[in-house]
Amino acid sequence: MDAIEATGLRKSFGGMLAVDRVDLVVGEGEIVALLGPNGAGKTTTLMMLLGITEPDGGSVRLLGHPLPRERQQALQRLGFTASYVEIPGDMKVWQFLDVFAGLYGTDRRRGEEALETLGLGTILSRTGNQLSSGQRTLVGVAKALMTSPRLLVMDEPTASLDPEVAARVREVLLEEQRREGFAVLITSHNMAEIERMCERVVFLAGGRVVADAPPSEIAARYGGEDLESAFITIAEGQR
Amino acid sequence: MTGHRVFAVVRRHWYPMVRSAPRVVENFFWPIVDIMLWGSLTLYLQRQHAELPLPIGFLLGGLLLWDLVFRAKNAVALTFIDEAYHRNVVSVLASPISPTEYLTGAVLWALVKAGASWLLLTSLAAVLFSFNVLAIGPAVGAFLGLLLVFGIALSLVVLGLVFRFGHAADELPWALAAIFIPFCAVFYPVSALPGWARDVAALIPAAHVFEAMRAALAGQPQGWGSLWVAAGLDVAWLIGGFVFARAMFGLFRRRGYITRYM
Repeated sequence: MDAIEATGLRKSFGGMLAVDRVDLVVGEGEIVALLGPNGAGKTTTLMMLLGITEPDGGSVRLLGHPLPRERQQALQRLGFTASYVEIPGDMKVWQFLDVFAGLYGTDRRRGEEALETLGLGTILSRTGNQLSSGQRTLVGVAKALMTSPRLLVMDEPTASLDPEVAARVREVLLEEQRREGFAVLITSHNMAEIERMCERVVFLAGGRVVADAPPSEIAARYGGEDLESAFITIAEGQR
Repeated sequence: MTGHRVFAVVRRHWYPMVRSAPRVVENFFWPIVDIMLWGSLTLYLQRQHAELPLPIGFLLGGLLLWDLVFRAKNAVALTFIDEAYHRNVVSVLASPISPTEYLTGAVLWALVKAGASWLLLTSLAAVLFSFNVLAIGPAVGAFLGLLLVFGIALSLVVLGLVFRFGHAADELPWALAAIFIPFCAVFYPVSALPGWARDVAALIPAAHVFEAMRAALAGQPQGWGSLWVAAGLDVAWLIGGFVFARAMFGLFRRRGYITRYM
């Protein structure tokens, strides 16, 4: 059973086509990147995959559950984090984990263990306001791992992290992924990160999938030496 | 619907509340100001032996009952506005919670918050101004229930507007109270309103409750008929509020308004 099976996803806003017939499959235990220049439709696609935005057309199955009918069952084992979500500044870290443990029907201690693994076991009693942006991101990652996910969806999770912390996050994520075998769908503008982490890249441009292949293959196809060169070639081709 | 998700919503708002002086102040300070103001006015009028067509307690009774509508409405609507303010909307919507579970949690939280503030108000009214809320009569329980339901129905309207207009509607919980209070006839009889406003008041459950409260304080026989009218209107408002909020949430999902919260 695939972790994500999206077929023919379409979305337009006020006559402007944001996502155009996107097919996206993420297999069980697979690590896939969703890449594309700004405005390519990545976040809209993610929001449709999470059932937050309703597609104009197409269908989504998450962990075998069709959306929107079985959205609750699907999200039960889906961890999500993004650079644009935060721990509320007036909540302590343990309280934040406790609330989301309640929302997911899981044990808060799993989140605390994940924080421990990320090297932040001592911040549980600090409030969101007392954390650095990097620490807040890591709390979001711990929250996502707390659900014992079968699918982890991350929208630019390392955007606010310094290179050392970002490397640690990648290391922990890959370690957890190897141990638990969950699937990952990640967006990032850090091409080196994607090359290190992902088996496959789905490239969006102008709301369409323009490439779906391993990173090295995409780099070779667009005549670049690495994924970053390929990214620039594709993005320029869209302008 | 599962209890752990509903109570997670309650805990989400309980945790910051108990450790934040400004939030406690917001919940208790203004009710105290109100009771001091209206209680002092009541005392002054009593001492002047002012000739009023109603027992003087109607001012404090009106305040105590209106505060419940106001607090219940704000507490529900502010749960979502609070998530938006703290950039937590996407995380909540990406979790398995359903709109009904979220709403149930928000209503429970509203009962806790409004209940705490109301208990303080009634205690202060009793201690400082010798006004016993039970003096309103045996129907006081019905008044409270009817007004709570109306407050929750109004909060659904506010939530719907917040889904539709985003941050531009953040001030609505307060504005809506200002729009409704004249028609609710909290401190004066409905007959004091101009004709067209009386027609509007007839459609508002709170106006019937406050009329019944004044009748009870005046020692007139309890007009249960008006309370049944209020109950019927409450059901209509609750259904209307729910349908409106649901429709606006549907629009939120269709138009991708989630991007406002990223």
